[in-house]
Amino acid sequence: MTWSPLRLLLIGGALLASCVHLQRTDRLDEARAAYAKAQDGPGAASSPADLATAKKFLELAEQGLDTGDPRLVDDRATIAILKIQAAEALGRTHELAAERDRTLQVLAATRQQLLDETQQRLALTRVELEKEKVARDAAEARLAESRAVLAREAQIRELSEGTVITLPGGELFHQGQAELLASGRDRLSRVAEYLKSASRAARVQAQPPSKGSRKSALKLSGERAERVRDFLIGEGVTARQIIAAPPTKTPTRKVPNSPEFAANGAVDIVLEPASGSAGTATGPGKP
Amino acid sequence: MRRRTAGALLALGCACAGAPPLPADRLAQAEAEVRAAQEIGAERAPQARVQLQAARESIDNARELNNSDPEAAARKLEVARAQAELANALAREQLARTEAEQAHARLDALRGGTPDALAPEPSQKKGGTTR
Repeated sequence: MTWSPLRLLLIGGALLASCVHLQRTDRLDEARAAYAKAQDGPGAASSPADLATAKKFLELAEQGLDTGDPRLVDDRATIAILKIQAAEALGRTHELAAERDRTLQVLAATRQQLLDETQQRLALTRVELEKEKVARDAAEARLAESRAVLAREAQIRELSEGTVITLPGGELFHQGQAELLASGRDRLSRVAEYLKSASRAARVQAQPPSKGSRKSALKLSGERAERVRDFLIGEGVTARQIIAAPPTKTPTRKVPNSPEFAANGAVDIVLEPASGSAGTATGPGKP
Repeated sequence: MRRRTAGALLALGCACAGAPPLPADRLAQAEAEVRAAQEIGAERAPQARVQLQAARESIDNARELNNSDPEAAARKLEVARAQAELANALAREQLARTEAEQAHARLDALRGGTPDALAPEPSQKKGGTTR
């Protein structure tokens, strides 16, 4: 067998071609770039084991170059890219989980702080309520005491219109006059104490005496109501709390059938029911 | 003539026997990863859903390719498995993102004075989104 130069050239070329290794594929380059990028990403710190696995697949793809089969290299490079992406996703997942845990810690601390603050406020409110209760009990005790004192010298009735304190006109005024007696002032001072303790709106209404001229009796009653109101304000009852109501031509409530009343009439101080608008006098009359 | 006929029948028989079946272990692993991704909710996360679908297609491709190129078909199964693993990882990431956002929302609500923000915390399983 003779080897012609042409045949030798062809055989030599074939041998040379078989010696030329596959150097790269686009997919492999992509995998290399992805790995280089992932080394600076969240996967490197948070999931190094997953990234190391990805690197092994990249190395397998590179070793595949020796086979000269680009499809094999591409398939292995594809797997490497997928593994790299998975490692990055797991890295991000670790970071998100850590972020969630940090937030939950802050959440728990903030919730505890708010609960503590709420409990502190609640404790303060309880103390305030207790103080108020003590003060209210004391006020009620004062009210009951002043009422008891008042009840010794005045008639006190609980009617639908409220608490009615009735003082005989002869104990407050000289007959036919509107100037207060000294003893009447003392009694009204105790009425003032009761009104201040009660903190309820009140009106002064004088019942006219039944003797004498009706017109002059009504006029006198109006003046007496004014005097009583002025005196009570002077004793510390607020002007807002008490009014002087004009006398009515016919009695609005039961009046005593006695000579004393016939001669001097009476003075009623009506406190509105406790459930009403306490503290402010309303209704007809001169404020 | 008889020899020729016998040879032809032998060749035909070999051809009819077809390619070897897909590697059972690789197929099982790929399908197991697909199921795992489905179970964790990959269908609900857009990126994960794309990878999950790609994994299913790769398994189908492997089956089709097996007759002509068994080695390439086996590699396709490896690709399918990696795609399903990525779908799984992306689904977990989405879960973690949602949990982190919910935690932030609860904190914002607490700081904003939402009335029920002081209600007891629902039991939170730490690390539930990481494996």
